[in-house]
Amino acid sequence: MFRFSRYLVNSLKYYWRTNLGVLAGAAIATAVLVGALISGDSVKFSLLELSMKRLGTTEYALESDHHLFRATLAEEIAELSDSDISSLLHVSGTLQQSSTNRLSHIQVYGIDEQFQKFLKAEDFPDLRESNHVAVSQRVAELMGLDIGDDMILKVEKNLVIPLETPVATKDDRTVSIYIEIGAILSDEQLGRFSLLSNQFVPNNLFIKQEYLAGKIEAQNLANILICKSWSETSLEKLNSALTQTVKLQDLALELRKVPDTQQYEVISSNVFINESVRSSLVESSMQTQEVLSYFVNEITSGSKSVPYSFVTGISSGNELNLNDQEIVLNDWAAGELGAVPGDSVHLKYYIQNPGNKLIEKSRSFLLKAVVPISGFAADRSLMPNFPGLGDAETCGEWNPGIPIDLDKIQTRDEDYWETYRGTPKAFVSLLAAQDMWANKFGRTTGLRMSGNGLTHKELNEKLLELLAPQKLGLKFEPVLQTAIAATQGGLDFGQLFIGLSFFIIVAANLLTGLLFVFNAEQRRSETGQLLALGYLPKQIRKLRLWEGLTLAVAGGLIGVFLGVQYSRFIIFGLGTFWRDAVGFSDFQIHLQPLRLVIGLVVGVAVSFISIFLVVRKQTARGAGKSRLSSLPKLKKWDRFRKYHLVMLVVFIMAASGILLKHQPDQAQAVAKYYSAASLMLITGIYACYVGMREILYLNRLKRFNTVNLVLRNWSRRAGRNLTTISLLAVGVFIVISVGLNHQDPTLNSAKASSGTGGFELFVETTMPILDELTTLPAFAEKYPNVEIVQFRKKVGDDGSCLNLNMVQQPQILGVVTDGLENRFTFSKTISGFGDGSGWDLLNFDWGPGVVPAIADMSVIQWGLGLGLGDTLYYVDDRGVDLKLVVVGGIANSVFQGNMIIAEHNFSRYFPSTDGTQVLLVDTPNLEVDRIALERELTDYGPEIQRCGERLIAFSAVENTYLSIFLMLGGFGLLIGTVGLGVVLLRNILEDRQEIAVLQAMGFKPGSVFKLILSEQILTLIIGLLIGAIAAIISILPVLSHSDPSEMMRLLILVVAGMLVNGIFWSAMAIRFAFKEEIAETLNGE
Amino acid sequence: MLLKLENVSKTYSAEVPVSVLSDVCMELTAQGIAAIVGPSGSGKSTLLNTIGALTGVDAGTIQFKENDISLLNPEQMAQYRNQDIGFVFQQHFLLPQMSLLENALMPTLAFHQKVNADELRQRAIKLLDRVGLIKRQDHRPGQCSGGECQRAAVVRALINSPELILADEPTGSLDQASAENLTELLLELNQEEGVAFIIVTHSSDLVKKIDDKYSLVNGSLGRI
Repeated sequence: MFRFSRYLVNSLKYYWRTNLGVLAGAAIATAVLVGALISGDSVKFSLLELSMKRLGTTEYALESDHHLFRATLAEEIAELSDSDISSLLHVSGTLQQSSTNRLSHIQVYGIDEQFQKFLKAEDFPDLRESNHVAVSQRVAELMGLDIGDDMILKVEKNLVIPLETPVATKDDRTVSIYIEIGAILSDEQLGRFSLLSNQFVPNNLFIKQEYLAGKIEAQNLANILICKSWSETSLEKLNSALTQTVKLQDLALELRKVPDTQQYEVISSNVFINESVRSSLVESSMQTQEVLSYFVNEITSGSKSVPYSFVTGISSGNELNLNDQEIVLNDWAAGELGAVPGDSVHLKYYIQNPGNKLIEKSRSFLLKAVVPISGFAADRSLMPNFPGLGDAETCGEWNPGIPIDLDKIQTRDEDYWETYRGTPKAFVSLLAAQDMWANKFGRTTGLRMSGNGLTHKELNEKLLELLAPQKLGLKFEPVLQTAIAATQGGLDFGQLFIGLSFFIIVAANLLTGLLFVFNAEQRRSETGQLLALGYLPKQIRKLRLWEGLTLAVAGGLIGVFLGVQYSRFIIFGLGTFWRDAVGFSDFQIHLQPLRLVIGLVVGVAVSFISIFLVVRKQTARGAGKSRLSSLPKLKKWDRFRKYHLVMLVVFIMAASGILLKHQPDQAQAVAKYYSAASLMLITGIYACYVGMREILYLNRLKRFNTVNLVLRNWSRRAGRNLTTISLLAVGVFIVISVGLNHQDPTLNSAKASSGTGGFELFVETTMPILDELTTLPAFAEKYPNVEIVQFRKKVGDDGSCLNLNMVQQPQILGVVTDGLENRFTFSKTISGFGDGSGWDLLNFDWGPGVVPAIADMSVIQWGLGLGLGDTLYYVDDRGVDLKLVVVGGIANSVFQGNMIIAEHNFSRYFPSTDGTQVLLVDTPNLEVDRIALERELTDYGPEIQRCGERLIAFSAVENTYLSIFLMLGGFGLLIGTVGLGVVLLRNILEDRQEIAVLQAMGFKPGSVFKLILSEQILTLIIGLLIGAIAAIISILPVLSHSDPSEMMRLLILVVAGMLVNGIFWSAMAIRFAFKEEIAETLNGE
Repeated sequence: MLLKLENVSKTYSAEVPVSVLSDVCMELTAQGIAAIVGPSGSGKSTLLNTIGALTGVDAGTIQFKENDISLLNPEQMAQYRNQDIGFVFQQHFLLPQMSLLENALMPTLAFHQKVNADELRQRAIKLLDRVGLIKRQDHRPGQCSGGECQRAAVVRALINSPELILADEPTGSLDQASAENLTELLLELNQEEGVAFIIVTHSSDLVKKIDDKYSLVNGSLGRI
């Protein structure tokens, strides 16, 4: 029985050659879609795998940036929350094997017994000896280490008190530990353990916590808790357990009884009490009395002075009742000074500026009274436990963070210290004290309260109720959930590769459509017969569409298989030759059946739509006419040809005018070249149109030869040839101008307006630098012409384009903006705030809890998906929400990955972050100073990078994507040129009678072949030439600063590849067409 | 003898093979003129195509000036079509983008000519003048009538001074008047140019004016 399906199958079989082409087009389109989707999934999956590797089985983590807590908190919380919790003591350090083999930015983790539980499968190696450490494979590889190697590990110590605490000693900040490599950790052994959401491999070193804690004077303390729940332990349960178990000590606080009084006092191990704690207690019902004691350089009255004394400011509620201009001396000091009430008393003291520079200030008071050293005036506990002072037995043992002139210390002073220690010699009002000595760490050194009959324990509990750890920033975070969200929310490689493969998809669908319409045209007589048999046009269209759908589905299925291979290629590329775009190579293919189905459905749909459109167009147009019966109308041309010629000249002049216009601004210069190139492209295509019309119009037989014949034929098919030329030209222009438009960030890098800001070196140190280097006399003397801008660093996500994860809280840099004035170029700034240089915007006061921030424009746009005026949310050191409002974006700079805020805001909200860890160095003597600087900063573990190199690393990402676009776009164009062969086949099909006539006239088949091919080559060359010339114009700025030969090689490769491919497929098409018998054609049989 | 066909047979292969020519024999002297008539599908056009080396034969020989054309290589065949014979089809098949003069000169581009381009042009103009198209020489086919185009096609067939013109129903697509004009023209050219003609036709008027007549029925050729 004859069925419709039989007709379908027979038709598909009979026209197998062209159907194969349609199939190939559908397969390629689907393959590209499927490949891109799989690649996207694979990148996400790989990032997720990496996250699992860096977290192990960690689900939640608690990190304390600014103080240490008891390591035993881990056990206590674990008991209450049905989970495994490990405490970690995390510090930064440098590792040194020899004077040349050194590695900075070592993440040192002191681990406890529980840490083993956070490995998924393997065991953590047994570190037999205390000084045995386990390093990650990366560290071992970078330093060429092996098990048994001895090393020196230099780490920060004295983590309890911030280094920048006024008066506290700055010495003895690091400790060197002799270690032996006990194990080299694989990724499965948590070698790349990190709580940061990025794919970068950290330089990890694991050491026994107890041993490390002993070395850095942090016994039984930790600063990280990691948690793995046994069951469904919720975040709330964990934080609730934390609240139940936390002690004041874990919040860097201590409640003590004030001797000889009924008062209790809250003091901080950080010396100054956190502002959140202070405000919580002061604003409570506990009737708190604030105390601020400070170490002054000198108390003078008249010609006499007393050196190095503690002075205390105390809030009202005591018998002193001082106003802000009054001072009270104890009788010892008054005696030494010979001062009596009514005398003028002066205090000299140091304060620290942001660069840790000491500035001596003074303030005068009126002596209100002299009190005996008894009662509250004899309270030694008013002296805070400043490191370098609190433990000193004698004045000679003093080692504070300020210079001490021992010559000024006399026997009387030694005696006082021996008898009274740091008992204040003078008292001022609290407001006066805070006016002089309040700093970023706090405005009180003690908070006193009566207790209202509560016992120490009861008061302790009450305080803990008031001071919930969460409010102070001490809380568990769902790091696993965050990591998953970050991997899923980052750059979508699926979409990216669909975009990069756009030309392939378009070309493949074009091919599908062209081949299908060619097939249909081949069967024109069949269509006529079907019509004669009584089929309706819509029925015939339906028949064709069924064939098309069958081919699209079959092609799609093949495409799914090819797509998997394509994704393998992409993943391989990203891990190898495109590695610059992603920064790591540990990609794994991840196949999700649903994605394959989606890719198949979309691929088939897209191919079918192409087929549908051409079938609809063809059936609407009816049977095509032979070229022998058609010729363009030239009457209109006769009337308007002069105008066209004038227009052409105007176009050329306009393009030349744009090119010749001087444009100093780089961004505008790029736009200028693109405008000129685009205009040139249009001019070229327009010139073709004019040329074709003119050839036909000037139909006089001046020299009748083969060339003339080719030109005539070419001109006659103006529409189709012009379309082909336009497609080729536009394709070549886009692919080459975009693909070769590689950024050279080093261009003008010496200029202050460039992305380097005119700085030569970008330095990141492992340990914070407390001093403002250029103000240190020794440094200034050695490097008189070196300019350094120092940045504070709050560790966060890497917001640069190198991080594939979703960036949530980028790293923050704090800077005194003076050093950046007139440096860098702002792409955009928010209006209405501040004026002058964009950096001034950072100093505008947005009110409490809101800080203006500037970042690299690429970070704002692509990394964060934000715009100017948008807000980023952080939590400051007090545990309070902090909003960073984006007020400016800098053009491609070394700051990629960071948010920059003013130093005063940084210190205000992140006081516990010590010193500066990022430096920009401007030096006229780069090589010499680089080496010297590296030596100078050795103790800080510097990593020195040329600013230009840093920019190159960032631009390598973009340039690699451009290269991928060039490659895939070029491939798309090659497929497109296959389509040219199909177009030619259609042309020949239409011209077959003409070809037969030529042969009947005696033209050799070879001559006719050459004639047709010449016409096609002419189209190819003109299209490619127009596209290439426009592309060259567009990349002129790039050519001027890059290796032009390399660029031209690539350009020639693309153009030549397309030309050769185009000629090949055209030749194939002609050969295919020539199989038809001349006689049959002429007879229409 | 200009042309001699001996036992020429041709079969089109299909599921059921179709014999188109069967033992066809025919002779034509130089400057001779022969008409072939027969019903549609009898193989008339196929016969002309075999003579014009547009299609091969399965059996028999076709000798042109005592040379077997089946022994020619493709290039020699092309040269044979270009130099020795000319075609006139039922459709004129002129190229629409070319003027009548250019169309007439089209065959001269296929092979290197012994005479120079100017002489060829003069010849083309002369022939166009001869067929009454001198004023139309710069017109394109689209600007001319069917009869004019067909006459231009005749000029195109004559341009290389062939010895034989194969005309496949040359008046088939023309109106009565144009057909008569063309018939007269062909007969006059036969005399003036000394060129032989084989004309496949349904036109009884044309057949009447030709002495040497053949009938092709079911692949067999016989004199009338």
